[in-house]
Amino acid sequence: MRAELENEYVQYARACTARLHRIAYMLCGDAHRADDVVQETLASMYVRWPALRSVDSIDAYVRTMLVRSFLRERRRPWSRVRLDGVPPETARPDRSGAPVGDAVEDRDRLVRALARVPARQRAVLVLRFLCDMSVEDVATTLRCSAGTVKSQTSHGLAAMRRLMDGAPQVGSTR
Amino acid sequence: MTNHGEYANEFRDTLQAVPVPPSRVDIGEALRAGRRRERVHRLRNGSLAVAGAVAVAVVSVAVVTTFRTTAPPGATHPTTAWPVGPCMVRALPAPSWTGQPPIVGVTDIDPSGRYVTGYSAYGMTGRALLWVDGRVRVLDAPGELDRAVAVNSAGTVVGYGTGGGWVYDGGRFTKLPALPGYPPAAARPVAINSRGDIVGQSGEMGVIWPAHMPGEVRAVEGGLATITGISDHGVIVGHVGDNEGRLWTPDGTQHFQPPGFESRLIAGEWVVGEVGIARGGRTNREPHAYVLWNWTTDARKWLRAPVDFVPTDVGESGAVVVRLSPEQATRPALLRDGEVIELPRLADPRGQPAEGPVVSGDGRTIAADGRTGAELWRC
Repeated sequence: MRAELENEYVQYARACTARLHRIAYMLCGDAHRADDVVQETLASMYVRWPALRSVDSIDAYVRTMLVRSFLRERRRPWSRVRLDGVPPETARPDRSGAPVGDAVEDRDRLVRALARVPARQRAVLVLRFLCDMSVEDVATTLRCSAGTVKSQTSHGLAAMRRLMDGAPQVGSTR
Repeated sequence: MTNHGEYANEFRDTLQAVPVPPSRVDIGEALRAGRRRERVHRLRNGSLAVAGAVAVAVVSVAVVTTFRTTAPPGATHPTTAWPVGPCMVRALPAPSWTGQPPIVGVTDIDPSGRYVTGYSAYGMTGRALLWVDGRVRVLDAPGELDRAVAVNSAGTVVGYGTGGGWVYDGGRFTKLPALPGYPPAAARPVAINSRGDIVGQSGEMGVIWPAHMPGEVRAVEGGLATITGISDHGVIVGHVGDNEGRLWTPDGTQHFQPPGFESRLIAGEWVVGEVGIARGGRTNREPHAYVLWNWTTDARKWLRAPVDFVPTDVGESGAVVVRLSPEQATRPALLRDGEVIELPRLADPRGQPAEGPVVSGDGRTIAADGRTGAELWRC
């Protein structure tokens, strides 16, 4: 890649990393895994950059790359071993020094609960409620129908309520 | 209990308010991974295929010259066994601070062969190591996951960890600043020369911490670059983009090397560069060959070994150390005066070097690591 294209790539990567990391953190429930997913997305983005830089909705395109990268990674056997081997407590963000309160506790519980929702349902929840995407846009990102997005949203929210209310978990987490 | 719609709104509000731990994404690393991937991608598509021959052009410091040559015949195909050279090996001791055998890595050796740098890692902890005359010292570096990466003949060590880069000199650590606008952890030294000039990265930018300006950092001309080494003369080598080789002379001027030649290592007058070569039918990996180039005389010669190899260090004498068969059962070896000297190993012959080997200026002292720990050779 020519140096000036690379410069553009770096500028864009700098600007989008924090946003991608937030989405990845909610998808993965783990800051280190989120770093890996973002890093992988940025490396893929480099290869496609000469074509990608002129795309109108580049942010949406890169976000789609990130979500697909997350879902691909979840399918790898080592990914399950590592994630399932981590006790929920260790996946909590570092809050040393932060005030302890109901709101903070709720957010912690939400991150932990979300990590236990099946991966595709989790992706739907994050795209719809964190990224505020429409049902149609989520369907395009996940390559499924709008009906599937609606049903996954419903199942995902129901799972979150169960998990947040402390009810026994139903079904697989994968 | 709230209804579904209310719960969805509550969920949205809480989700959007969740604080996220700081990202440790390294854009410089993503850039390098992307470059490697792009190169493989292009080679797979045959865009670099040049049947049977490759044109290599190298820019010398003073004069732009080009040379044309063919790939070294049989450079990577086994021909005959080579003799085990007259090298003596001994273990470099490693501290067992975890109660478990840690991973030991060797990263550099100074031109005199007296100092060796490296690290010892176990789980998510790492310590910077310095061997002096074969005795190990654990450097109590200021960060976590620290590693010492280079040392000069005065015993000044540079390294980095999660807290960023540092210099260890006379028992004291000094932090290396990152460029303005970069977090401190973005500072990563790569090499140090005998004058104490340090080169490395500040994120994706190539930088120098000049010896005569303590506490100062400046980007190399052109900025965006991956720096790989600095000679005692102050000549810096590195690359930009996809294998666009660069060389910076001590006055700071950037010299371009045509596509296809990527400077990797430098010591004294010698640069080891990688040359992309198309090989018919082998599209599942990056084709490559290596050239030893004297940047003052413009002399150059192919590096050859009977099996695949990767050069890992060069000494001022022009001796090069390599990893033979880098992808399986890799072994350290010395290429000297056209001879391939495989280095004898200690007890575990399966030990795979993670870093190194590295070589002293005269090409006679070599260090490397393996699964069993670090080793030192005198040839």
